[in-house]
Amino acid sequence: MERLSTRGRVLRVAATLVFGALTLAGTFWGDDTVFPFAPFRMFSTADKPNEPVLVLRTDGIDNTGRRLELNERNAGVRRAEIEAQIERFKADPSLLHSVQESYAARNPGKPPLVEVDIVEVQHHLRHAQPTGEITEVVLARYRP
Amino acid sequence: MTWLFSPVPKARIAAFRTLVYLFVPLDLVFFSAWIKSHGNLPGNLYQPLVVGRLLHLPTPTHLIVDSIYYALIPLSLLAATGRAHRLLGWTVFALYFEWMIIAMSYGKIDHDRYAILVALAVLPTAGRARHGDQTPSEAGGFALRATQIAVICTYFLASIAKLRYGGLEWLTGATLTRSFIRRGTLLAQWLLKIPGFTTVSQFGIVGFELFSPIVFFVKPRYRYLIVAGFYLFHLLTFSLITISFIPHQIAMAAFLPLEKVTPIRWLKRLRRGSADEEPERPASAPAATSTAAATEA
Repeated sequence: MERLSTRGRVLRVAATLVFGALTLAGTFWGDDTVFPFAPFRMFSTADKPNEPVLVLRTDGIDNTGRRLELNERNAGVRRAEIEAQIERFKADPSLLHSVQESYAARNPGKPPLVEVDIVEVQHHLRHAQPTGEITEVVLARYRP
Repeated sequence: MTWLFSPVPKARIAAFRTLVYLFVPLDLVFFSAWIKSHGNLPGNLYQPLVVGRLLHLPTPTHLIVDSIYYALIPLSLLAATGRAHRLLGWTVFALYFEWMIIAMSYGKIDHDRYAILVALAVLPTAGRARHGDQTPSEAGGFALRATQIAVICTYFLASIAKLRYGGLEWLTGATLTRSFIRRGTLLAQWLLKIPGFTTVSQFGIVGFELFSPIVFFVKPRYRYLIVAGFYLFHLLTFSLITISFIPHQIAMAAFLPLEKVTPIRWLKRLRRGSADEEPERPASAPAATSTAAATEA
C-alpha cells in the first residue's frame, strides 16, 4: 500500500474545496465567460411548447428553374453561420453573392444559380408536439 | 475523508493514463477537428474568457494554434506510456487547457470538457504506475475519485443550470422537440411522432441528472449498473441528435476497473495459442512475444 503524506492529503483536500467552490459559484452566478467553471447550460433553455421551431435553409434556383437546397457540401454553407449572421443578410441580401460564387466554384459545368434565398422553415407545435404544419418564409432573396 | 483517498491498484491508474492520453491526440485530429480552424479566424471574432484575460493569453493565431496542435500530439502519446508522468502530465494538461480556451473563446461553450480537464489535472499527481502493478495507491485513488466527482458534477449541475435558465417550464417545454427537429436523426424523427415522448424524456433527463450522485452511495455491483446506464444515455443521445459527449465518456472510465482490460496480454495469449498450433514456428517468434510483454510493462 502506498500512502499519502499528511501534507499530500491536506493539499489535495484544499485543491478539491477550492475547485468545487469555483464550480458551484460558476453554476449559480457565473456565465459562459468563466469557463471551465461556466454553468453546464447546453440545452438548458426552455423552448415554448406552443411556439414554432425555426430552422433556416438556404435555397438556390438555377437557370433551368430548378430549386435546390444549398449545404456545406455543394456551396460551403453552414446553417449555424447563416443563422448567426441572418440580420446582416436581411439588411443586405447582396451579401449572398458569395454563396452563389462558392456554388459555381464547387459545381463547374452545372447550370448557374440565378437566385439565392434564405428560407425560414417554421415547424408548428402544440404541447411540444409537432402538428405537422410547416410554414416557409423567405427572409432574404438575392437575384444578381 | 478517507473516501476521497480510497486506494486503487496502480494498474488502474496506468490504464486510465493510457486511455486519457491516447484520447487527446484523437480528439485533436478526429473528434474536435473544428478547433484547429480557429487559427484561421479573424482576431476580432475572439471573445476572451475570464481565464484568458487573467493569464494574459494571446489572441489565437495560425502559429499559436499549429504549435499547440503539433506539440500536443507527440507529447500526449509519450505521456500515454506512463513515463515522466509529472513532467509530461503537467505539460499536456497546460497545452490541452489552452486548446480548450481557444475552442471556447468564439462564443460557444461546450460542457462535455469539465471532467476530462479534471482528469488531466489530477493524473500528474497520481504517482508512478506500471501496467499490471496491483499495489494499492492513495494518490491514485484520489485522482480517480476527483475525476468521478467531476463526471457527476457535470450531470448534477447540468440539472441546476436547466432550473436556472429554463426554470420548471423546462420539463414541459419544447427543448428536446426543437433539438429533434433541428438536428435529429431518422430515429429521432420517428420518436417525435409518439405523443409526449419528448416531455417524458425531459422529466427522465432531469431526474437522472439530479439523482446521479447516488452512484457514490451504492454497492459496486449497482455502481457498475448505474455507470452502464450513463453510457447508455450517451449512446441514445448520439443516436438521436448526434452529440457524442466523448471527452466526458472517456473521463467516466474512472469508475471502471480498467486494470482488467489488458489488450496486450490478450494479444499475447492469442499469439501463444496460435503458436501452440504450429510447433515448428521459427525461432524469432518468442522474441516478438517478449517485445509485446515489454511494451505492456
